[in-house]
Amino acid sequence: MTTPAAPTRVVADAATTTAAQRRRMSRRVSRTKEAGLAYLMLLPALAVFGVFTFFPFIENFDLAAHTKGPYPSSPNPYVGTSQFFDVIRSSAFLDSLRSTAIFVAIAVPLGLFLGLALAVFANQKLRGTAFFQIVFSSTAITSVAVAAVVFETILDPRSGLMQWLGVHTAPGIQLSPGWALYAIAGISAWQFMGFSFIIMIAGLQSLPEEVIEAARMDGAGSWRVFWRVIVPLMSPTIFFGGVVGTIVALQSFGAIDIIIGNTNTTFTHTNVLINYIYDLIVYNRQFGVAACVAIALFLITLLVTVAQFRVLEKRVHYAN
Amino acid sequence: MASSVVRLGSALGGLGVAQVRFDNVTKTFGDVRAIDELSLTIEDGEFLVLLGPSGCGKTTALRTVAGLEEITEGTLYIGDDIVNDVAPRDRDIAMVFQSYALYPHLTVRRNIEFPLRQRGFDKAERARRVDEAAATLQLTELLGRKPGQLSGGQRQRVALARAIVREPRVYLMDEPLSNLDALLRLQTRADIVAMQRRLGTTVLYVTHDQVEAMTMGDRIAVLNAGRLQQIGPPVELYERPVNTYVATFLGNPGMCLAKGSVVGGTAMLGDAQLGSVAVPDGPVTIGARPEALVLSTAGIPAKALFVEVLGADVLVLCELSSGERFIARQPFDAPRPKPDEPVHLALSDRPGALHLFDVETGDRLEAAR
Repeated sequence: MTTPAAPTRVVADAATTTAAQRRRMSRRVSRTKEAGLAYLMLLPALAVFGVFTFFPFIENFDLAAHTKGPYPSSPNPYVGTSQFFDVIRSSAFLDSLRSTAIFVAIAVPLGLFLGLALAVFANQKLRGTAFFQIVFSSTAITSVAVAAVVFETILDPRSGLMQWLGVHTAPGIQLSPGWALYAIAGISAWQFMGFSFIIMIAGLQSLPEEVIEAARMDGAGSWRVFWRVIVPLMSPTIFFGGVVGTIVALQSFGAIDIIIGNTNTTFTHTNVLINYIYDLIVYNRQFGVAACVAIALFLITLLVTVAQFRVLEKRVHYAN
Repeated sequence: MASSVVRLGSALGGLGVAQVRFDNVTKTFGDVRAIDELSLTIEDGEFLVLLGPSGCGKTTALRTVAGLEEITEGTLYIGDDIVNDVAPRDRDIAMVFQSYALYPHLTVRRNIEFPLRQRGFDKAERARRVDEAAATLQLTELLGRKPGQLSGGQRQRVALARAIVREPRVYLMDEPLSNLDALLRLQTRADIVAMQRRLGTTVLYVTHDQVEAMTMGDRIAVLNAGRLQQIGPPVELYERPVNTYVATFLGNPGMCLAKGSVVGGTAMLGDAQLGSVAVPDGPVTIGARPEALVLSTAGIPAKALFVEVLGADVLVLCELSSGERFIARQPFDAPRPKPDEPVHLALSDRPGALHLFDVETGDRLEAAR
């Protein structure tokens, strides 16, 4: 009794299958077109990055594997990885690495702390805080050259603030072997403070106000509210600032170049890795060595960032 | 939960309670008077509900008691102390926030013991109190979790535990149930009332939900535009609202109003006589609650607009010939009119069914029935 219906069903199934195949094919064509359009739109950005970022990045490894001489016609023998290991074991590199570590260890935490402290102050519901918000964030948009000149004037032993304070140093704190690195780190912290302030005040303004009010009602004074509630709640922002600040500080160059200028061989106290690379290229014309230091700096930045995520992020409290 | 609260109360050795008094308190934000000359006393051990719509100043009033807002004018007392300039932490009060305001980076245990740590309680005492409060509010299993891992109801209980654990003189609650679902709200409402009744603490509770206000408060204070409209026991406010604002705000749905008149000592709505009243002749605003109106074969002529079946009963929205609208609450099994069907509304015989208000001021006029 059911057999007469069977051929109809088969025909219907075949029709359904064909329609489904057609739909699948149509979807595939549509997806391919969409992907093609996406690649087409990415092309300009890929071209720019390719020429100015990816190609130099790859080329740097090639440069590091050769001991290229100072002139275009100089011999360029291939030495493989030996040059890299020689460079990272050299005392000049290790001294520069030490200076870099001190510089980063001062500039980043100090900049973060100053930014947070000023943000807490500017976040008060007081008259005139909008003015302070503009002033405090202004260091982020101050040119490094301007900042360097300002601080050079302040630190000048003959006419600056130091003389007014009665601190007499020659040739000036920024050029004193014992203080130069700290002075430069302080200037960089001052500049980083603006960026730090901007992200900190944005973070503070997004904190749940009721939680802070609850802490006040629970008996916590201002100091405890700050350390026990605000800092933990701000930890994602502080962590972000720390990671970005560290990456930027590891590449810091402008302030040192302008204030210290052309370093001579006896003054290497502020010779952080980027300045070391600059000196190697501009003054010593040791391109291969400079490329090795650049690779080392890249690896150090990568390692420090990964370590920050692995170690410090455990102490970050995300609200959700 | 209630019986456990008794244990907690006795374990804590009895909680200090205090009267809270607003004496002509005004709070302004720029040109806006959020609270306008508020005078109000919350007695020792009383559960007072501040009720009003959003922006009426009820939360601001609560926050002035908490010390989170400075008073512009007037005097605020907690007990015998003037607390206008006293810091929040020195007022000996606890507050449960609408968002619960738990510390997201701390575990439930650390959240509950936070106020104890700030007040220098030793470790053993902290542990004892936290364990007691956690057991009371059924949080023992959750002590190691962080707020992000809790449901809304659990967070609400943690916020309550944090308030209870330090035995304050006054509890302030800022719409603590508004983030809970309907069922949990009903249950928690009863829990909070039971807790307050047994501990005998002073509670100032803010809500815009008149059902919460009616069911929880010893007294209700209705605020509008920063001014106190009426204060009294829930039933008194419901049955004898002092003005049209309180009449329409309280009740679900609120009282319906229409323009009427008093002629020869009889309240009239159009041609319909509503009964004798002891009010001088003249125009009046007539008010009736939905449960005071019945669909009848005679009475005020109207047209049924919409029928809302609530389950236990039915609301019938009716339009009078003047365009004014009344709602009649009918039993579930009563005949239901169809939309646009002509009906008649009659006033129930029970006392207090008819309310009269001054047309100009909206103030209550005494009615005869």
